[in-house]
Amino acid sequence: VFKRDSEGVDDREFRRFVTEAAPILLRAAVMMSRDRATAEDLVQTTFARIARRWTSAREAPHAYARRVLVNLARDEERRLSRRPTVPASEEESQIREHGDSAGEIVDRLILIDAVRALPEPQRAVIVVRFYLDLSVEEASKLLEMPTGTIKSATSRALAKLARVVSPEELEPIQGGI
Amino acid sequence: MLTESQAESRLHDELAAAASTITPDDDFMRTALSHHPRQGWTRPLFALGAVPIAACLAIAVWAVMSPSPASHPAAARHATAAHHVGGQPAILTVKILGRAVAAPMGVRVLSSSESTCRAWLSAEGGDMAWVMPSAVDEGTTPTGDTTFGESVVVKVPDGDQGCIQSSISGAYAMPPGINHTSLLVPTRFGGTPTIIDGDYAEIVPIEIGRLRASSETKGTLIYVREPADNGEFKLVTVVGWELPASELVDLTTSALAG
Repeated sequence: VFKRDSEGVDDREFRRFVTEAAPILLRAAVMMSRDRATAEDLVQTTFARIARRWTSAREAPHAYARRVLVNLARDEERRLSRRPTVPASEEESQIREHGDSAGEIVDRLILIDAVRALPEPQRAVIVVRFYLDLSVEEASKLLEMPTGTIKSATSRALAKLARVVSPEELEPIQGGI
Repeated sequence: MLTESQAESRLHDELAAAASTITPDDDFMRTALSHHPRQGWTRPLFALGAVPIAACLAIAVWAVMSPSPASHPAAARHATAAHHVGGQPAILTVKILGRAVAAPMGVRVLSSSESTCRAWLSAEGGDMAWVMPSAVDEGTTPTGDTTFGESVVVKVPDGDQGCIQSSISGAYAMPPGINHTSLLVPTRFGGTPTIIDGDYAEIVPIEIGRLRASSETKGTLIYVREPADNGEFKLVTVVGWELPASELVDLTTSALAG
């Protein structure tokens, strides 16, 4: 019978990784998913997979996690695209607990909703580039898209988000990126 | 008006601020930390059933054998029917509470979400069951064959809540000698063929260990073979417990019809 080592080096490293990565992955997943429950499922599945591949994933677990999560989220979106959308409300209650001004809360809710409302692949591009901080080249590798597609998707998404982020300053955005 | 780079910078800042309001709760973190790193699938998978918490339900797992394993889901999706070893179809089984169940061949599940089960586990790893290698997780069988596939994560019920979990596989070609009405789960293991929303389906009664209790609860596992393009199929898997099988069938029918 397999018996797991109790708190070996791998366990400690993995726990450290999970602790660091969980908030980042969850936020990215929420922006790429239709609701928080789905986002949590995606992140937990991501951790489960990384745990099983820890020997190889430990070299670059964050990059590995990003790839798994993004692929899961995009697969999930494709699968759900023919199903009705269930609007999420949990983020709203969480944000209210944050103590920001009403205006800021509304702005943030609107921005997250606006990102969620973007069509694929614009949504994934925006999340990986502007939340996960990947360059065009890194996003291209992660999403398996040409850099030109990443740039054009970014441009189109920015144009749509401009109305939310700062309507008076950002609109219109001219030219390509 | 902002330049494009300023617009990007602004979006970056605002997105970070918006995202920072989303935080993992304690249950989520406990579950995340309950995963344990492993070195491969052969060591722990079937030992999950030996974990003291007898809650590990293992469902739905499809592994495929391939001479050139895909290392990425996108590649795996295109390698659907490559599951022969030495010219012979590889038959894999999974254990569901000690029952050996033939795993559907040529199938991998692409997602395990769309779950109403909100009780993510907070105890030790093993409460949450997953079986078989993932599509991104090539593994090696005891006989040295390379495998890949995807797993389904099953949330074990906490309390008496009703719970449904569903998933759908990528399109796959039926293996040679198997048609779309071939039983996935042998009759002796409870597989009952039926038709759901016009498609071939099977209903399998299962028992699921309950978290933080020694009792088991009745559940139902439903497989539906949904036609895809080019003569291929997708496998819809629905697991439910604390609700009658007929209700789960109705829900599945509604979901598929929708």
